[in-house]
Amino acid sequence: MRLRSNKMSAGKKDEITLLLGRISDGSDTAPGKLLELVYDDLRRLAGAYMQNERSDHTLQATALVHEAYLRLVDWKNVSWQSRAQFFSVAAEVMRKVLIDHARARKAQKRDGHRLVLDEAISLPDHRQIDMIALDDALQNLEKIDPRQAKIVELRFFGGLTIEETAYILKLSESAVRREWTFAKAWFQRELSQTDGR
Amino acid sequence: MENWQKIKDIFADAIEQPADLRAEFLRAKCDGDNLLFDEVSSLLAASGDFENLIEKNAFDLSSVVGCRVEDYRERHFGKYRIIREIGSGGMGSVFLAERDDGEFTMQVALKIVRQSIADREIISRFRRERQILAGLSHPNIAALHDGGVSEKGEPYLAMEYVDGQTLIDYSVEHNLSIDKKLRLFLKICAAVSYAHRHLVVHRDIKPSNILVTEDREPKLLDFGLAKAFESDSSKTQTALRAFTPAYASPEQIKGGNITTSSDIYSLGVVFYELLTGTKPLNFDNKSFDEIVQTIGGTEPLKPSAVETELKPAHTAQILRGDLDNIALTALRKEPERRFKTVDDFADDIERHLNGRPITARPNTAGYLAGKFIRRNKIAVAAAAFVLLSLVVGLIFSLWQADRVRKERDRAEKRFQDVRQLSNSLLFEISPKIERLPGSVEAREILVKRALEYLDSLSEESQYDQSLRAELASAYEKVGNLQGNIDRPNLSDFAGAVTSFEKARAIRESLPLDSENQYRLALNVSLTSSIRNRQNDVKGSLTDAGLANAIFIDLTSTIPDSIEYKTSAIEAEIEYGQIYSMNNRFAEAVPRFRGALAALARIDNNQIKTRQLTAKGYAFLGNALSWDGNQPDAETEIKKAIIISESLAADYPDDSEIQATVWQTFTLASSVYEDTQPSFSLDLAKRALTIAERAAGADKADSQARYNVGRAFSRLGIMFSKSQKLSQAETNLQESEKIFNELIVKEPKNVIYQRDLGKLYVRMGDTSEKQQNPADALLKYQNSALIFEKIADGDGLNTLALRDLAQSLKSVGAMQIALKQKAEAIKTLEKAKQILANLKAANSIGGFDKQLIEEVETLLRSF
Repeated sequence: MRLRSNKMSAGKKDEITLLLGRISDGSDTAPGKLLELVYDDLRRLAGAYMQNERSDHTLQATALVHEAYLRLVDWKNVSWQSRAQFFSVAAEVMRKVLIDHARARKAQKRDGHRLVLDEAISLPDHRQIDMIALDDALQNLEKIDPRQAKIVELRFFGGLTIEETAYILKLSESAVRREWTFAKAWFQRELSQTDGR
Repeated sequence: MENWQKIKDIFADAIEQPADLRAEFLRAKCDGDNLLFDEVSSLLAASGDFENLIEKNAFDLSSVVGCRVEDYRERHFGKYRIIREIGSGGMGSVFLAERDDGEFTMQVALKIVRQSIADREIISRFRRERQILAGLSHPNIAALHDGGVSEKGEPYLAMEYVDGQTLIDYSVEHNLSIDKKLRLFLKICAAVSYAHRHLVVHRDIKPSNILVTEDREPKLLDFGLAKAFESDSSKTQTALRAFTPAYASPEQIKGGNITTSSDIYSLGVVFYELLTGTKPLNFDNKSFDEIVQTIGGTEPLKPSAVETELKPAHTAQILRGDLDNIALTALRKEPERRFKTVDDFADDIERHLNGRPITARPNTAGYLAGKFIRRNKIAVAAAAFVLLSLVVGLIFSLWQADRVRKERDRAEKRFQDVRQLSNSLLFEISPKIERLPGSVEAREILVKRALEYLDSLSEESQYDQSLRAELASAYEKVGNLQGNIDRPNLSDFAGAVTSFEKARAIRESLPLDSENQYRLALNVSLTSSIRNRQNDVKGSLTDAGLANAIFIDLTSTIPDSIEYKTSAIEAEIEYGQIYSMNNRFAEAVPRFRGALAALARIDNNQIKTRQLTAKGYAFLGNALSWDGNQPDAETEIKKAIIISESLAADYPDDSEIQATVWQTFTLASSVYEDTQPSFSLDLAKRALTIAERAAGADKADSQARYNVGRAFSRLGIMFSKSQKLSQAETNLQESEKIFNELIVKEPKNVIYQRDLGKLYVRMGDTSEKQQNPADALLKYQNSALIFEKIADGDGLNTLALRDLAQSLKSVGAMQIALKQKAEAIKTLEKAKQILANLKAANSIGGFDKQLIEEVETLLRSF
């Protein structure tokens, strides 16, 4: 993987790595700090993907989060547990980035700005998804079933596989698969109801 | 939604049913509950939607983010048109595609490599490799039909589309017998062997690369692709590609030469996982470098010794012997010691299936001894042997056989020497230094060396009963040094449990004469105590019960042995203490009383009897106090103090006795905390003196260091009680420092976490007294978080739950003080709920009834 020039200072990398260690040790302030620290980098990275800087490139959360990990973390020296922590936080950031983006776009439309050209080639109707409605639904789910909501966040926003999700949440793969099957049906139903109205 | 869990359960069952039977199934399950029925059926209907909205990940939904991303759909790659995506990974995506150039139609799996990975060098290598791969044609290898590079520069491959399940999923779902698993595996071997004969190494054999079709044909995917796409930064690739490099061979992970033998190793991992349901090595919580070390240095358990929930009980018997040896031979660290070819591997499996003797052998004495001789020459010869045998196999192997025979004779003698040496280390040298303070470091080295010897000996010991008995004792010895909390130890509890389990397995296979039975009971009892330290409450109680049963049987067969009797009593006290530590005082107190009565009957004034009596009274007093029976608690703990004081005077240099004395004073200080504060403070000071002396004598003894931390915390508590708040703060901070230090050193030791949690409660109390509710709230919240984490780790841990309830009560009180009404109600309701659950589970002491009242009073204040 060829990265653009790595502008990040070594100090920051150390700090991120240190925070990951502290999360593993049970520090309760570390996850918030980590989120703060990696938010900008992940947002920039996502922006680069989104703005089509690499035109002939499929955009995938999986690749993005993995790339971020290799760039931001001294990955040779952290435990697999810390690695899992990073992906968990990254999925959260990705969610925020996308929702912010979707809101901004909505506002832009409302304010009468020109529509982005490529909306003309959006996917067929049944693939349309209202990101803001999805986020609302996810927030509801968080209240009812936080674990299932976390699975959705990791899979959908972090692009993690069943195996990786299971590892992070310390669940069996079959348990994750079961929850995921249910969550998919639930979202499908919730979101199509919203669409209908 | 209160029905949520029910909805989930019914949904999970219903979706397993054939579509046409679901409605009926659902009606039966819902039993007239129309709301429930509607809820689940609408979910089932939604699950059938062809394209699920959240199936893809967020970034693939280009319409969402309003930017143009590459859309593969509708695109053509050479002669192939993409139908839908069937998978994606670090390197790129896999699509189901159709060839539609008018000649004929065919479905293929189209693999497209991500542009960022595909640099110029990779593309040229990819082209070379593709030629070779296209030549492979075998019924159990997914064929490579075609490949190329798109006009945009993405390399792609068109491969046979296999509609199947991954190997492990298939075998679990179809509940395959060992026999069927082996036959399936043989087909996989045939495929790999075929490729090897065509000079292609797979390099990435893992269950997800082996699909099994409906008619039980395995198909290997991605042959040689790992090489085709390899880049210079192969370690980065490893990090990108796999979450844990579970199937990589030692030479692969170290970046060494990859050969057909690496595939044999990976096949061995698959074989192991197929048979046992677990992977041979555990990489949990290991950093990359530690994983490299584990793959290179840790021997896997024999498949028959693996305990999994999935494995039926009789499986161990089927696996023992042949299949153990076959798996471990494939998984040897040194490539030259594995099966020489995949055919050899397959041959042995077939021999086993046909009931003929196999060729794979456990590590031989010759090999083990060889490890102690300079091995370089042999290694070179062996490596050369692998190469040469391809050309002049027969002649060379005759030569080798002769060489091995000579080596073996020499090795037998070495083996006996090693056995003697390890015995001497463990049974002559170790006891001499055990009771000296300051000897932990020395023992640590001793343990390490001894384990190295033992693990190599145990391979060899299968048919020698006296050696096996020796081995069991040796493992137990090592387990004691690692984690017997009644002695100076290394606090390596996980290591200790492993050592005791190894010994237990050996003992169970030996004839159960009284000596072996006795040792087995001691083993199980100690394992129980250690498990308790690891927060494995359930395992701990199971083992304690088992030990108890064995002891009852033993002491009724041989009623005259004081030694057996004393040990049985000790186990009984430990059993009680596990109940007590988990808040089950009604079950704890009778055990302590029973043990003390039995000790009184022995009445021999021996050191061990006295020590146990002190311990019994101290634990009894402590339990009674927690259960709210203060007068009896004081009567009993007073006895513990008197005995401990005389023991301390009689054995000033015995670190084990000193630890017991420390324990008595610490528990007593806690019992007298409210009724006699100045006496309590005095006890805390004496405990600190003892602890500091022991810790000073032995810097590496975690237990001693912990005792110091506990002593500081008790002092802090007592200063806080007597309103000496700044002194309290200093002592508590000192203690916090030590606990944090220990937690960093042993993150899995739940005792340290629990004590840190309790410490935060005390710090909160102190802040509260200093009129600083905001700071107190913070401290209480810290403690609640810690207890929540412990309780999460083990739902059976009622003690952690009650601690949590207590912390929450304090958090709630502070929130009230800070006018955070809504939060306070939430916190207190949670505490109330936890206590109600504990009460329902009959797991509540007298002390806690007071807690319930306090919570309710606070709630009523709104």
